[in-house]
Amino acid sequence: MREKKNKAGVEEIRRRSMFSEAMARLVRNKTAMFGFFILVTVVLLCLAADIISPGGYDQQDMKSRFVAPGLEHIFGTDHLGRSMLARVLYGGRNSLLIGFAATVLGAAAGIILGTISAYYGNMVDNIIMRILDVFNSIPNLLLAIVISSALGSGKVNTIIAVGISTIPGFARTVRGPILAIMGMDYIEAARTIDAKDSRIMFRHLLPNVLSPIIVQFTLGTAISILCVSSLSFLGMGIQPPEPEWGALLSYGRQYLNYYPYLCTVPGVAIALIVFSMNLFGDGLRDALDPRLKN
Amino acid sequence: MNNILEVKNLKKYFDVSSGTLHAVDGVSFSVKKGETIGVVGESGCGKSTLGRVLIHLIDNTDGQIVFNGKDITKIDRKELSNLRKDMQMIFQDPYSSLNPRFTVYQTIAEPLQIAGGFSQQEISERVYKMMDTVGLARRLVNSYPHELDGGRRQRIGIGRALILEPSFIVCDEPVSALDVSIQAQIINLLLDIQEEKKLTYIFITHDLMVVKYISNNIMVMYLGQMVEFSPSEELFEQPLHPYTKALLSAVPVPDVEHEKKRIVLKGEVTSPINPKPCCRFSARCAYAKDICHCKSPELIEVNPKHKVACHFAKEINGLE
Repeated sequence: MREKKNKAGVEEIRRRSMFSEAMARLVRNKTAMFGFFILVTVVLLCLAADIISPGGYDQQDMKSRFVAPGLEHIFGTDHLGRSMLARVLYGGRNSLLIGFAATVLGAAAGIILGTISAYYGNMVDNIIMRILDVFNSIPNLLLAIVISSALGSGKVNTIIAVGISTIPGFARTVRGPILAIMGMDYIEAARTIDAKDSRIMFRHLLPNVLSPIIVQFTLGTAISILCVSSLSFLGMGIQPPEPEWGALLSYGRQYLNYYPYLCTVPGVAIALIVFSMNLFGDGLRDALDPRLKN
Repeated sequence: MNNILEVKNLKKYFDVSSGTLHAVDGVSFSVKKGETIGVVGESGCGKSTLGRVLIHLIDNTDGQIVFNGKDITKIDRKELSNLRKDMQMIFQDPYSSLNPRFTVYQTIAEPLQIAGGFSQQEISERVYKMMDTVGLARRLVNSYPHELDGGRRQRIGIGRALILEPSFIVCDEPVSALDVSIQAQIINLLLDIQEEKKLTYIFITHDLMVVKYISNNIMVMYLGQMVEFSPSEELFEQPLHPYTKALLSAVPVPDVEHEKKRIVLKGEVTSPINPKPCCRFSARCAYAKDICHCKSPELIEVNPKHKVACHFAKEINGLE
């Protein structure tokens, strides 16, 4: 608690907000910070791909094909003599960006659907939630495969396909807490002061369910990245010559017996990012909702 | 005509799985401008539902609510918006009636922002003025509810209700969630504001001492029906309905010499779901006769101001 004097000389007591308290808890959590550190490192490396590998991801050098990882090529080269370092970094851009964009898309749609569902209740709730149940009953990846094969490959279509598969998770995450808040007096108070439905939803309901949304977002992004990589691995997401972690794995698989590092590098990258996001997401949940931790 | 509110045969039924719940069943009364009507009764007797129906938070099933000479039970959206500026509510629980993400300023300013037509300057002037009125220090303007105690939180709720300068306020047990010492502060605040702004209160409570202190008239409810309506003094001096007698006998008297003659009610509260056409209190009433079990009593005027719904009100009380 800090005390500060303002111009009028009135003592102004500034207390730490709920959010900054949560952040303090998060920083104290070593595993979460470890995950956050890995996450930031990987993201920064991918962003710096232009600087680290100025040659780009598709510069071929047929004289040095299948060079094992070493001083000249840290992660070795592939069957066309392209630097694996460059391909993993540029591929990471694709994987992370598409995974993130898909989660944003799914979150936006899921939050709106979940809020409307909980707010209006009864019929609306039943219709929306039963449709989402249908989506939910199909495994994430399978649903993405179905949508992706209907829409075709490409970045935007992959974002849509993976995004749709994350909608039910977000809708469920939001609906439960909103139902609980609907029973609070301040929602009734908002009605007595003539607040419109949209105002109640966006100013009174959603800000109070922010914590579960943030947690779901972090954990959901990890799943989306996995999903994007899986699609590309199966040949549906990102098309060659553009690199993507799942696509790189898929190439490397052909040479697995002779040049295993072609698989190891992108594989470890995927594992690392998902692992770090899960660590961070779990830490975030503990920090934002201390009641859940026991 | 100086009645700000006239309620005629107001009914609110809820459909529940086992039938129809008669939450408010045929309540009629009128309120003069500047008066306070205390509504008392046990838990589940429909007090809160009555309050919510009165300010149109939930629609009534039947009957009329005439507010300032206009029936407000059948009004459209736009008229309802105007009505909201004139009728407000103070809630029971100061912990759940405030949005935890809103600062004091945001909570009190929101009605003005929704109503529209005020500049930022005007809004902030009015909010600060309202904070003075309800006794909140100006330095708390950016505090969040979780940083404040129950009394201060309730003051925020009162500020929010008053900022649009309504003439009619439903107070739904505004002090029952507060400490006794703070209860007195809040009640005095409500009385001061009433005097200053000529407000009309419907004061819902189960605390009889509070209601005696604050009300001009008291309405006693039992299972959705009004069983007695009387000026405050008269009700405490001479309660006519057997239920009111039992209710008043439960009030603790701060006197060691006082001999307690507590009337203890026996039996269960009759279910408000699909009630039989009888006196609803008959199952627990010491004076109940055959007629009480088969016919619902009419409201009789014992004197022009005092009404009671009991078949034997006169016999029991030795009147006439």
